[in-house]
Amino acid sequence: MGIQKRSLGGWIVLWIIIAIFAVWTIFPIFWAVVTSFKYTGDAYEPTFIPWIQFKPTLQGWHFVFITAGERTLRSLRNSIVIASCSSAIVLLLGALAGYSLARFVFRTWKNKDIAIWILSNRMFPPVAVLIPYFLLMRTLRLLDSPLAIILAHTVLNLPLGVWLMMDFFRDLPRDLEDAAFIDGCSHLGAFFRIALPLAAPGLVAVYVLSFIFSWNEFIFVLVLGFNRAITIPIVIAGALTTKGLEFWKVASMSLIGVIPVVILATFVSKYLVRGLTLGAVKG
Amino acid sequence: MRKKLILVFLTVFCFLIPMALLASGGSVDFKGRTLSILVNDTHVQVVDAWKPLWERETGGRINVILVPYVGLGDKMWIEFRTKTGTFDTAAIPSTWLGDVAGGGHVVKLDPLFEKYGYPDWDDILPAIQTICKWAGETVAFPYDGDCHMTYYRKDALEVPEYQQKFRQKYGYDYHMPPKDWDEVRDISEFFDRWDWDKDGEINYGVAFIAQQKTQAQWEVLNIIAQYATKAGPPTNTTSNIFFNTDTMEPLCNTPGWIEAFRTIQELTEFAPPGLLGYGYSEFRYAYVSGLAGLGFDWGDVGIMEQYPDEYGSKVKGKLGYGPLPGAKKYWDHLNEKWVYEDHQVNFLNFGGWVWIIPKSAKNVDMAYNWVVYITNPERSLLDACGIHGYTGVNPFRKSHFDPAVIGLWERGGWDSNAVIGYQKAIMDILTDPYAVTDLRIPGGERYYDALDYHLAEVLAGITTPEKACAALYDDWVRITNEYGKESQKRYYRQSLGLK
Amino acid sequence: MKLKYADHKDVIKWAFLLPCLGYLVLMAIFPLVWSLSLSFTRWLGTIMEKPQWTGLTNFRNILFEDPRFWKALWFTVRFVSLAVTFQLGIGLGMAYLLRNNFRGRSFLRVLFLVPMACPPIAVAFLWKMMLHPDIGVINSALQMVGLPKVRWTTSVLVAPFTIVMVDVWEWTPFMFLALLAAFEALPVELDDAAAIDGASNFQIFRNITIPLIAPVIVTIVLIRVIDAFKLFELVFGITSCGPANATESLSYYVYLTGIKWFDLGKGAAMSWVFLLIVLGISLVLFRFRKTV
Repeated sequence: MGIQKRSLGGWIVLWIIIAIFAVWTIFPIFWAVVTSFKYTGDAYEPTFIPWIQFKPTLQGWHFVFITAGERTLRSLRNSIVIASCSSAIVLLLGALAGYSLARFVFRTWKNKDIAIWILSNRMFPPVAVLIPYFLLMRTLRLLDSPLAIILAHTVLNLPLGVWLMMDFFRDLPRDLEDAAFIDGCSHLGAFFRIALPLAAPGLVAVYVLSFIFSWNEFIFVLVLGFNRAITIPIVIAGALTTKGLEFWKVASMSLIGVIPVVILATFVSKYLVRGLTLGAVKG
Repeated sequence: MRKKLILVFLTVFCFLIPMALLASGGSVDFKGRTLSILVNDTHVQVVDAWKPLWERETGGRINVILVPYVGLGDKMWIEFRTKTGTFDTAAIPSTWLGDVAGGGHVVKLDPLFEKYGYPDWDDILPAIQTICKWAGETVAFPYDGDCHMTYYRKDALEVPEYQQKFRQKYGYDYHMPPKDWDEVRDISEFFDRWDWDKDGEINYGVAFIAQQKTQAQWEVLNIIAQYATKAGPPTNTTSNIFFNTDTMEPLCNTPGWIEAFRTIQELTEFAPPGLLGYGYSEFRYAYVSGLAGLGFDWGDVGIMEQYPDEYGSKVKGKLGYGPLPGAKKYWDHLNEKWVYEDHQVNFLNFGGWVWIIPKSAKNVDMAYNWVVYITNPERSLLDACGIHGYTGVNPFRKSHFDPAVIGLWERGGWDSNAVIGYQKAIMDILTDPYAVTDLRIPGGERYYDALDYHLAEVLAGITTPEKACAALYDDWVRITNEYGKESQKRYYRQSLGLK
Repeated sequence: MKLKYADHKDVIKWAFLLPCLGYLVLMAIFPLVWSLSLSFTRWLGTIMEKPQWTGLTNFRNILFEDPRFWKALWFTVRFVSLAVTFQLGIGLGMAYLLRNNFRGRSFLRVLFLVPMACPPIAVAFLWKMMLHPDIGVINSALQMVGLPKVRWTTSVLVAPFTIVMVDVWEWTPFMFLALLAAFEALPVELDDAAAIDGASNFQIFRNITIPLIAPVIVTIVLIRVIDAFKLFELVFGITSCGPANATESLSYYVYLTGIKWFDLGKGAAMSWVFLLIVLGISLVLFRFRKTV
């Protein structure tokens, strides 16, 4: 892109806009961090600087990790297990299907039709399948088991996995694989030895993205989880109780849910937009 | 005085604690077994308090399944439908018993009472005995006595100067607590938007729960109970506010209901600006921080009043307590006319929490032992009187009101005068044999959700009471038809104790 | 060698694709069909063991006798159109302003990840806290600069916009980053060539830039529309549908009916109506995407 000439005033205006936008974006998180170190009265005051404006306390964090510690840790463990397992399935099925759609030609149904059909599975609102899922898991005796939630989250993320992997494989030069065939490599061999390693960044992106989405998912856990299988979002939702407005609890509980995924997201920042647009926009 | 109090207190303590230990000690052995209990966050404090003691005494272990209030119903129904035995007992609102007991999902308790014995059943207040029964059988354990009561600020209503000004403006003397909803209206208007407690902040007339999907419907039912019926043994016309017991026609489109909706809509004008955002937590926070003159809530405000540090109470010792206000008239729906008569109806709002044992429970004996253990007179008193802080448990036994145990209430942070007023207010409601009970038929939650839905529009002032009541009528007719009119009528009559 | 390659190919391509298709059929299509079959029944989960065939009663009930459904639909549609419009508008404006390389771009890119990556339920609760009408930080700040308090969550008029605002906070960065990427992909010479022809900035933007990035715009709008229709957590957390039902979303109403009240038949029917609405709108947008 060409470098446009801007006057000094133009730059200042630009930076003011950027600053406003940045503050607006980050303020809620900042405020949560501040609130999580406050207690009772302080939490309702618009004060920002610890020690100077208010006396910081670990009350909120104490609640999260000690008072409700068992519950927090259990749901953290569940969140990690569920998100990593469902992302692994997404990655496996997605990479295979993506490769197949990117490299081979289907005739009865066109590649494009299959891809769009897969995509259409992402369109339906999750509530549309809540009732049958509930009944299905009941029949399978899987209610309140992490497996039920893993299965559900996999459905939600699989279209993303297929489309992204398809997109990544298309970007790879075909010559390398063709060369491998000529050297006597089988298709499986070419896939595992050539294509997969080359698509490694894509694999990581798919895994991390679907991990994030599974971590954040709320409604399926709300319905299918119970006690053993609850994840972090459910614990966050339970932070506001009948006992009054305990903002410090809400803030620290929410941060437990926010921090891990934000850190993960920075690792795949290059692919986040690409992932969210299912490969349509290469960010 | 002080010496005497200490003496009473000591006697009570020396006497009660060993008795408590004796009452249940040693007779059972649950070694190696685990009891699963389902509670929501409000009651976990009670469970945490007694769990170690119970585990030590019986040798059993307890697995607590903690869910937020919003998830409690869902989780309970999952168990009823799947019958996997995820929990052995649960604390639920008694107003759900229509679906729960009506659907036959819980163990009937009368045989268990005979088998294991239930000490002091007669100690339970009559109203609470009623709500634990469904269609004549005991299906739940009493645990909590819930009823709405009137709270008022003594530092506003008792000031002679204000009383005189009020008389000049309205031409009569108000009662403390207010006698009927007309008085409530005038008092709210009079004490609205000026600093009557002289703390530099504007005060408002009245506050109540008004946020959607919390518990706003009970606030309007307080008023409906006064305008739609009068106290008496439950029949079609007395102590019956929801349906015509002969035809199962909803009564919610009658002038009595419309009058109540109009009243509550008017009250919103004298309430703090954040009113529509008041769920139970917001309301209680606002009220004990001294924002409003009048408030209508369960006994919990009284407990929170005593704790300036934990719940930010600025009104310790400044609250007066009373029963719900009455009305000057009520609608006789059979003869379709207003009957002008000063009267007051008590309403068992929400009806209190109860413990139930699902049919699929794996450890019925343990569940029984646990519930009887925590709800026995001595232990439940500690939960109700404030010693355990805010537990969500309000008094439900006669012995909780015994003058002999007032020392414990004081240890819970109460002033001795305050506790007498508080106890009297609750006692009067819970001993009333003609108190109106909550709607307890299948689909109860849906009827109430529809009420909440239309009430919300009235509170926000975007529809008229007449329109809201007509729309509510349509909704209720539809729900009734969906569940079957005849069976609903049968259930409703049963819930009132009619043949 | 070549022969083996061709033989192999058909086996491999299906072996790779089928697990994925199988999974989707089993876990997405089958449940949907099941729910369709339930939607023709009366099944009150709390008191009935088995469903009872009732034909189209549920659909008639929803479409003609349930104003609440229509109100929820109307709110959802308004929410989707407003939120997506604002996100696109702000995102496009920002991306256009910042399309040139500038220092701090990679920093901004990381910063803007935050709202998108947060669990929506956490977003809802954090904002609920800040927007509290009496003691929230936003109203306190407004008061400090002399502005009146806003009844963010308790005014029938404001609350729907509050939900929109939070969604805009959450997803504008997505629009911005996607459009920024689209601008980056444009050939450099375009601007210069047009500038030499004497076209004004706005003309260039309207007549050259926009048509070039139109496919991207339609795609991200499509994605956002589909996602915005799923609105649940924000409503659940911030307003719990209030005040006066001004913010009850379709997802929430379906959840209430089917799961909370256990009216499985009506809930299933409602979710199918919902599904068809979303599908219809997506198809229209999809067609539109093909034409641009």
